[in-house]
Amino acid sequence: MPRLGLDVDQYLRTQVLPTVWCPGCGNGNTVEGLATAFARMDVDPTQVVVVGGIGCSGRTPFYVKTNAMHTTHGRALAYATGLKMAQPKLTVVVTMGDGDALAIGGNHFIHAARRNIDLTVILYNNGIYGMTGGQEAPTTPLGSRTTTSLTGSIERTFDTVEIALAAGATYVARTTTFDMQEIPLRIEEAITHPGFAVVEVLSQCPTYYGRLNQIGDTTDMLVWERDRTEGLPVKMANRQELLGELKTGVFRNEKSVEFTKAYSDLCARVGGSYGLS
Amino acid sequence: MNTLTIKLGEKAPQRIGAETVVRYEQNGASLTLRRKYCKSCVLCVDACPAKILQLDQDDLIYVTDISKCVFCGACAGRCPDFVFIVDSGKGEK
Amino acid sequence: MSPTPGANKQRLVMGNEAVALGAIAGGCDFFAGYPITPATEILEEMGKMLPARGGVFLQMEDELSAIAAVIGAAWGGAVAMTATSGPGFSLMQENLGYASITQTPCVIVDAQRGGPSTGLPTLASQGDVMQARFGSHGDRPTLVITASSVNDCYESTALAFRMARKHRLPVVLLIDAVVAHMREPVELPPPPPPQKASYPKIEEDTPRFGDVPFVPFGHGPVTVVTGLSHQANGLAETQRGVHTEQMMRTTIQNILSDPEIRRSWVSAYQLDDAEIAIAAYGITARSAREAVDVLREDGIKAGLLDLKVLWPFPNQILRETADKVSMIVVPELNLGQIVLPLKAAVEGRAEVHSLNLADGTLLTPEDIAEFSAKQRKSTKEAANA
Repeated sequence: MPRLGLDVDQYLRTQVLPTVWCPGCGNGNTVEGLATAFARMDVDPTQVVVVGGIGCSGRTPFYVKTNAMHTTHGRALAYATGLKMAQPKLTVVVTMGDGDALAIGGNHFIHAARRNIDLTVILYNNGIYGMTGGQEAPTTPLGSRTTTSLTGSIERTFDTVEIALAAGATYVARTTTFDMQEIPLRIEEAITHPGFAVVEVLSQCPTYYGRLNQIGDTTDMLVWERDRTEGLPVKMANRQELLGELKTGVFRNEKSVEFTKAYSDLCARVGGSYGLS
Repeated sequence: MNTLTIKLGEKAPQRIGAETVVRYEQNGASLTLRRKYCKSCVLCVDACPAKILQLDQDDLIYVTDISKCVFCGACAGRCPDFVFIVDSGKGEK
Repeated sequence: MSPTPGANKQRLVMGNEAVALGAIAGGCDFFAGYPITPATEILEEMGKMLPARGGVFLQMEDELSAIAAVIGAAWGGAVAMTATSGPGFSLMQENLGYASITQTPCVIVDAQRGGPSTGLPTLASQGDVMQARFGSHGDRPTLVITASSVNDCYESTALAFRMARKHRLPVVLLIDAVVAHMREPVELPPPPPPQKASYPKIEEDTPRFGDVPFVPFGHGPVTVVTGLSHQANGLAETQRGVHTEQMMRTTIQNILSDPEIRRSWVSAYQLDDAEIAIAAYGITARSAREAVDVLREDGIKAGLLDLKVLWPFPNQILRETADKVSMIVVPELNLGQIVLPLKAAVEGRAEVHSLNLADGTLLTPEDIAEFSAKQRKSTKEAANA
């Protein structure tokens, strides 16, 4: 992401770089997008917590120079919910992988969305379990090869955006590491959004997904990322149109009662004053 | 990491160590490389419109001809490992 | 049990309610939980009390997310707890380990019910004793406190919060369905006014982990928290977990030498001249106390060791007791759990006899007295033969 004169490094924990991620992995672009969003918003790092799950993307909190919480597999959103309720003024960003958020973490994903609590989820969708060596995930495109679907996966695929919309998230967007300039903009929109915000970033995994499906080198994978997605027509596409390619863009950006605000009103009704006031 | 600054028209030394941060400066714009973070994924090589990026004998990225660089930041955008810092000098936030 | 003196200011209080009141007295201002018999009243009581105090009450989607929310809240500066029973406690184990390695202060109440599985939801058991110690994978410091009266429920919960903060670990309060649901006349102080917990300021290079005070986010420079083995500054250290092992050993040592824990480890009754010691805890300790009186009426000098802190196990106290008595009887509402470390501590200094029941009903004073008398007789006969 060209830094356009922004000091993004202040939000990177450079002493632990380079990252653990493989050459050509897209995760770094998303981290740069997050750090760029923080630089654009000039956030105070001591008032931000990046909560990560387990897996490749879960390591994000180490690389971003804010408060960091590297939690257990699938449970990042549950940790983040408690943290946000205890300290509602904190900006809490939750970075999870596709398996992390939608397989083992699926129950917490739909309930956090249902609550519309002010959290920003950055969901790195690389269509596979990378850290453990290339196994199938609920987001693996049908028919793909992975180390646990060597003859082509037969599992039908989750659409992250549909799940987030159905569960009630009030800001839902999808972008890709190919559309690198979009990443910080979506993240900034998601963080400033007063409610549950989900930004899914389709992110290439050349080491496992790319190799097992013979997509070619790292640049070929970016082209593959580009061609499997298409800009979102102004009106919301229906399921049929989505079957062909995944749409990118902002699918919902609306206001609804935010959970910590509702909780503050509840306390006021019984004479209590909750963190907000 | 120490920094080697190369101004307009100056010649880059033959061999630059991985630890050295290389910074090219030309009339207000700058391109900085932190080669220590490079993982030789070559995403930047294809992304560069001027085609001036290649891996050296240590498999680390380097600039073949800085005079052709337009400071567009495509390399920084593509790089997932924070190697490039580009300031086009146009100063927009 | 005759009503305690000064009965006028007393009222009938349920065990679970006393746990909630004890939590508030211990400074608790965050509760996340999930409904489960026989612990639900704790959830409901906290739901009544916390909002009016500006505290946070959360009912989560399952027990697993409940304890995750508790740990997250602690790092947000809250004094946090959850309460559950066997099935929920099993779901909490992984995150309990996370709380241990990240040295996060929090309290988990396990109102034990008949197991395994759905088991006997409304009946008592003491079947989670080993789980409370070894349920989460890997070695970790543990502190498990019991309660055998409504007053205990209040005091033990407040103690749990003090120790959780002081030693920076998840503290488990083990009660059971009977202690949880029974009511007793007790006199409890009014809840203290709500007060946000205070934490010291830290600097960039202040160590965050190890034998150092707990400081949540937002009290100085940024902090890194991870379930990976880590260094004192919080950054991962996965080549060799030397800092983590050191932290665990130090925490265990600090707990073992804590004067407040040493004082409340065991409460003894009629033990000084006893030839038989009954080691019991929770609801069974009440029957055992009656059994001591019954045995003494029959001319058998018995005494009670009410184990108030199960883990770390009071090895020293058991060894000293074993040197003075000829036999130790261990009645438990399980198939034999605390008897195992007890035997290890006693090392043959005295005979140990386990009396076990795991059908959801309680061991009565008569059961314990008869069993003890019978064991004593057969030992005497064996000695004379």
